[in-house]
Amino acid sequence: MNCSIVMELLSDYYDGELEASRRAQVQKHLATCDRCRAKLDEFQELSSFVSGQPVASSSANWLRLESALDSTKEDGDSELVQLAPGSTNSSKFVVWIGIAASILLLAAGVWKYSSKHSGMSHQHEFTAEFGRYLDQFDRDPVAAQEILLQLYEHDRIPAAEMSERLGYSPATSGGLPEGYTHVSTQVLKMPCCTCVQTICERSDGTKIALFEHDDDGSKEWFGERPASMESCNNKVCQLVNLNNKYAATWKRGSRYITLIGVRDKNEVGTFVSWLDQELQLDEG
Amino acid sequence: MASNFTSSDSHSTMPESVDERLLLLCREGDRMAQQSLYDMCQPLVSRVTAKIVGQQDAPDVTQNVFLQVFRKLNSFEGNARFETWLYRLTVNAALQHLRKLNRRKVESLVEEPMSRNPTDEQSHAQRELLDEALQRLSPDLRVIFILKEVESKPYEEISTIANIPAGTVGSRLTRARQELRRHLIDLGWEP
Repeated sequence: MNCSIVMELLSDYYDGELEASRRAQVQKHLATCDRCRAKLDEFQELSSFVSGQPVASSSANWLRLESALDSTKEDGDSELVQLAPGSTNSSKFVVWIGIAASILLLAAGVWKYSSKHSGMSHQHEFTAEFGRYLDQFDRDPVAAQEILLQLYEHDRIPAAEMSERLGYSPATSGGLPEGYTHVSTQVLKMPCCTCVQTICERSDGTKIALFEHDDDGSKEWFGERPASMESCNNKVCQLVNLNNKYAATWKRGSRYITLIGVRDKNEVGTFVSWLDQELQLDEG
Repeated sequence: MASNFTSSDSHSTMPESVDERLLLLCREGDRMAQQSLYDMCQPLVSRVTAKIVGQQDAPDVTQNVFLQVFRKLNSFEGNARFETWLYRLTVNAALQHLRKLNRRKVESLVEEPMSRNPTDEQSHAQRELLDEALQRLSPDLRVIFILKEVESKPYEEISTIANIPAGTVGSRLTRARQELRRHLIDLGWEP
């Protein structure tokens, strides 16, 4: 095997991609050829230099991407009506229609910008308000509940009337997992959504709040609190750290369930399994 | 408080196979699932785009990659590994970006001065040296070099990702290595 063939195969040899017999032939050549061996050493030097570099970290920006995903979705809904080029008699008409359409689009853009920004400040307000509730929940769930009831319109609907008034059976209408007792259920009209909120109590007297809602409001509800995605009894759940406890959110059918004040993944899994069972019974 | 939750380090090595249930939720537009997939994949995508297009343009290209991921997820049929498919989208997006710019060299980012200790300064200088030399390679050779030396991909996978015949990976790598070494020496590297 001569140098030109070995040079062709040098990277394959270096990266361990040659089959055994070819590898042996290259190895035999390298044993006696200083020039080719020097080239191989250069490969090694380069690899060492590259592997010794720290990997530059680039800040992850999910919020920016989410914004782009949302606006891609919105843009897909809008269409421009194109006017076909007309005769000379209607050409001025076409131009004026074009100008009018441009003005309307500009006005729509300004409205969208300002409503989006006023929407953003409402969102921040809600995040702060809900944040107070979350902070208080661990210390004093009763006081935390008072915060929500003072802030938002609410309606305590008797269990028997829930399905009729809401148009669907709430997740907890079939009861709660063993070891939990029902304290209260109310409909809360929060800025983000209208929720069915159930307060339940563990056997040790401590409480969990369960919210059933239509939108995935994780960003509004929890702001920038640390969150992670976990599998709880085969359900992908978002877990948010609330200092001593957690909030867990997952999709159940067409709605979302958020638990406030869970202790651990096992407890989330208990509710996931129970509510999934109830969903299957409802759909069956 | 001792946590019973699995500590999910979102910047650790991407799992070999992404859970099919997670992909299903992403296809349905579930934002939580999409964020989870993003957290899993972002380190890989950012790393590779930064090496191909440079640090300055990497965030925009990274975003484009993910927009494509979520747009094209329905067409990912699972007959290839998700990671390979992601690499391919990333490389194609980066090369397309370079073609639009129609330049082989990316201007160095003028960084804000920050205090670094001497060891950090040296590391930083060496990384800049490597990045500058990489930008002097043709985009195609740059991609192949990165996939092998940075991402440690086998030739077969490099061939799939870069859409080149498997038999040509070795010879292209030899060219990339030789040219990169020349550029590094021109820039002051002392091997």
